[in-house]
Amino acid sequence: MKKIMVVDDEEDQLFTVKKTLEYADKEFDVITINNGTNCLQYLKNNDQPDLILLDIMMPEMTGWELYDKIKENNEWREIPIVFLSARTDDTAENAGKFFGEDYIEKPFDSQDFVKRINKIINTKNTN
Amino acid sequence: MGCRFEEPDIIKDLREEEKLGKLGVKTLEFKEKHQIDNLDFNKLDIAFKDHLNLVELIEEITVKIHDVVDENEIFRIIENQIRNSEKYSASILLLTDDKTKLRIACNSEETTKIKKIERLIGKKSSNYKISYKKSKIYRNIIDEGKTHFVKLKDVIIEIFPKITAKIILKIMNYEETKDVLTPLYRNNEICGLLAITSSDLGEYCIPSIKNLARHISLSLDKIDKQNKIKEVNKDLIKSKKMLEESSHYFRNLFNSIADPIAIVDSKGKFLEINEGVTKYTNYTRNELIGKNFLTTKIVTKKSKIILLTNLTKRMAGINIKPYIVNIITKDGDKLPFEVNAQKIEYFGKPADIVIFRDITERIKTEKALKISEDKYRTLFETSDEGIFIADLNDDIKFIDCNPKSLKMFGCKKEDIIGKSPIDFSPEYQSEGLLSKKLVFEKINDLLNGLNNISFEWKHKQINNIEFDAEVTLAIIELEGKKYLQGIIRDITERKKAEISLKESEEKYRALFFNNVDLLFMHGLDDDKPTNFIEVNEKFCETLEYTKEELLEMNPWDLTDKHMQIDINGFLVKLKEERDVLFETSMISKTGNKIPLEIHNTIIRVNSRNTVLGIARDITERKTAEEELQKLAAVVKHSGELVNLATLEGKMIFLNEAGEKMLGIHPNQVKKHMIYDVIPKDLQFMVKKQVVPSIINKGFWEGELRYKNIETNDETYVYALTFLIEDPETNKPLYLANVSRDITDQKRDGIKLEKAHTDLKELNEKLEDKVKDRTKQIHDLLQQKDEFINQLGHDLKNPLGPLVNLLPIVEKEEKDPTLKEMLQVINRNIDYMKNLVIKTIQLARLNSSKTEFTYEDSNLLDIINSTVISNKLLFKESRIYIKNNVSKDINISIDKLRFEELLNNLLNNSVKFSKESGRIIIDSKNDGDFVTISIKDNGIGMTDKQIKFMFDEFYKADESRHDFDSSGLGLSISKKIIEKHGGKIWAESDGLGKGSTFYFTLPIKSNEKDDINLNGIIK
Repeated sequence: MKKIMVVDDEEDQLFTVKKTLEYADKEFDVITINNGTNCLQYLKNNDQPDLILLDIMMPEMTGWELYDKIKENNEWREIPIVFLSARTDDTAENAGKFFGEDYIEKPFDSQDFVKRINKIINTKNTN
Repeated sequence: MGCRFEEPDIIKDLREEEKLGKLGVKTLEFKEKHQIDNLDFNKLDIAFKDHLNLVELIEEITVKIHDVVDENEIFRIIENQIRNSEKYSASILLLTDDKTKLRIACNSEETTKIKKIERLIGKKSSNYKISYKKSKIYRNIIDEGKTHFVKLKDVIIEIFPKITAKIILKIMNYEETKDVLTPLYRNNEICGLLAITSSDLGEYCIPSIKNLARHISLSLDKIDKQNKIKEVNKDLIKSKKMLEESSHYFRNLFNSIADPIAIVDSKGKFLEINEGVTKYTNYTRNELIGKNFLTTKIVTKKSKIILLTNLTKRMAGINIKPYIVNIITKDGDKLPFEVNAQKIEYFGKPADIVIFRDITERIKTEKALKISEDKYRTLFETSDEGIFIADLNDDIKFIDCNPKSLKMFGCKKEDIIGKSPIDFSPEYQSEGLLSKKLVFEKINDLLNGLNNISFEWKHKQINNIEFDAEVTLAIIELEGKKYLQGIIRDITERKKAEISLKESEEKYRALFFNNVDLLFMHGLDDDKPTNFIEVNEKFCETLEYTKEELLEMNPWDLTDKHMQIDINGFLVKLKEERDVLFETSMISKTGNKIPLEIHNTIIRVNSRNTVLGIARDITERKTAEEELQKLAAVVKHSGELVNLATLEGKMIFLNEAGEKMLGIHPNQVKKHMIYDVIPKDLQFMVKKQVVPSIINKGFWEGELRYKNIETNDETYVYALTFLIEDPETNKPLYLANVSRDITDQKRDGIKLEKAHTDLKELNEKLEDKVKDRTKQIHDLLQQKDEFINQLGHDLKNPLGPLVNLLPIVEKEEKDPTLKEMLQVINRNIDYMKNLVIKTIQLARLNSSKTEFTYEDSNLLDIINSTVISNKLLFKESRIYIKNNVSKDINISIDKLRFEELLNNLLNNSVKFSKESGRIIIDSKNDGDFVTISIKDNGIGMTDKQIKFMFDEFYKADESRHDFDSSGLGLSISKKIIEKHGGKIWAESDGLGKGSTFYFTLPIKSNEKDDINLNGIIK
């Protein structure tokens, strides 16, 4: 199973990502988390996911802040993070690509989305 | 079959096609009866003749091979004989393991044919290896020892692959050829077979052929016999020779060895001695041979016991390690020898061969070594310098260190052993070079032959405290192995002293020689100054003498004789106070009188009283004092206001004209600040303009007004204010101001200026209004873009579930009616998504925040790559595309966006092309710009369409619901091109006549760069 964690404040978005991934590939096990605090809590108490999909614009703790918190922890540092956002400015895209494994703009193309995620997981596993 | 060799491919192929059938052996059925029935005398005559021929041939061969004792020669003879005959061929098959080697002897005609076959099948006949076991016929002959009479064809079919066999049979014409096969023997065992082949063979030939085979077999046996005898003989001769050689060798060795060697029997009797013995002992051969060493005086008594004990042990078969004995020469000298003995057989009896080695020298050396090592050890342990020994492997490691070096490095022995000197050095030496690198360089120098090297080195203690050391390195050899020996001397103190000495000397020299004052030193006698000891450059320069000349003079020689100085009194004062300041004049070489202020101090140089004089040329000061007095008079009576103030603005001088203008009483000048006379409305201007100008530029000039502090009347002036600086230090001292009354000229000008100002104000107001309006419009536009951006962004999020989930629903839906509805919904969502994304893209292009990243690219390359990535699109619509863009145009572009532009234009062209249309891309170089055109032969455009087509959301055909188009592609393209500094437009000859889109781009015209780039690429 490929364990994917999605962090987004909107339930509909979480649902969409979960269904899209699970429909495309039965191997995906998608965990949905609705804010940064819960994400850190989950990481502490459970097995590491193979990849984290992170929304940027979230109340309380933004995607960037959560990213920093995950990367500060030695055990979680290696988990690939992909930013997922509806933001359209160059800065968000460039920063997302630089810090994360990838930056995916919403709305995304389902096929392309699954392909990109699989590629990152495969690269991680071969390394 | 049964034959292993590589077949050419063509034959292999042929072979595959044919089904391999099992081939039986057909022994020719010879029906004698039939032959007799159809007896033809003519034929019989021929057969008889043939038989005679064959018999003759075989006899000839038999005779020829009779005395031959070489296998190869036998076969050569057979081959030769056969070659000369016209009718027969012979093959000889020799068995080696299960592989057999074929030798074929043919007549000339057949040889030619065989060559042809060889060419066809690509293999030489002499290279055939035939496995006889796979041929039934061969097996029969060899296993059973019988002679066979068969058709050659059958043999060929059996031993060759089918295709090869076919070729052979066809070319050789073997259809009717017969073959007699008979075994060959060697030592009563079958060693091969002989085959005689001819089309005319009959069974009557068999006895003759068998006879030939028997002869060959006999010859082969004969060869073997002869070979055996030869070998035995050879062995014998060899053994004899070896014996002789070894005996000879032994004798030579015995005699040529310089060390004494003796052979004694088991009782100790000398059987043989070499020259070494006689040489060392001076005994003659006869005096020793035959005598027992126990009865001679050749060794000491103690040694006799040792020798005898060991001899006995050895004879009992015990090996004895080398031991030492003392030998006494005929002259009575006692020599130590190391003895190495071994038990041998000597003429059948056990004996002992004893080798003596003179070890006198060795013992001496050992003794000396021991002494010197002791000495070295003592030196090592007690030395006041650090000594270490290091291993000279790839990394140098300490093996030993004396107590002093441990103290230097501040550590214990266990801290240092096994570590490298580099561990005890800082990373870099003071010259800035890597310690590690330097160490290896030095060791290389040593290994390359330098005896030893000394150098200064920064070491560090184990606690990282650095110290300066002088290190001497040398390579020493201990027990044949090379080691590095280092001697370390701590020179921290010396180094410190050296540095401070050097610094203070440098300081002194710099001070003395570069001083702007005149410096000199001279000695001091009781009653008068002595000659100069040292003078600086400035002193020479001022007094116009060279240094050499001055060193021949004393200060008294230079002093102006008109200055009446009581030299004795002066000297007394100097000696008492040791420090005197006075003014005097000296006369230069050309007679100039130079006023000087001199400060003399007595210092001790080389424990003698010496005067150090520091003189300052005060000519300028004197002149200035005089000039100033003259100037003061001028200033005082000048008609213009002249004023001096401190930097803070406090007045310190005001001339008469100024006093009058400002209403200040001469006694009150110093009580006023300059701001007191500046009218209130000008104060701000003075602070903001005048003061900064003076500070920055050193002066200000311009119009001002002054206020009379008594009457409050104002005077218009043109003022020049400037800083007065200290000529030596350039530090500003005072503010000076000179002002001229311009009140009369000014009054007329004022009215004119007012009118001018009013006009200017009016103008400015108007301009501001225009600016405001423009800004308002700009803001509105920006608001529009921001609104679109925000809207787009807000739309994107909710689009997600629609775009991603509805297609899944559609796919899973089984009801055809619902499925169709979902398809329509999905199509519309797709269109909406497209529209939102394009809208945001356009808003981004419009935004001033969006930056393009330009890089240099080749125009043709990028167009080619875009065309290739759209290949599928052209293929689907069957569009023929031609790219005529010239290859050497370089442009600076944002690659991603430029590709987007090309994609938009190409998509557009394809969309409005008919099927099987054509698109031509071309470029035109105008020098500064390149114009790129994309021409299609599609549906074309009206003038109205051309006019609006680059507008946002414009669609040429409103009625058409086009899901592929957002109506923004061309607007986006236009923005992209504009950001690149180019233009875009379209042309068409009307509906149905095709369209051409043009756009321009600035050319990157750096030819040098181009050449370099090309060079690299090539």
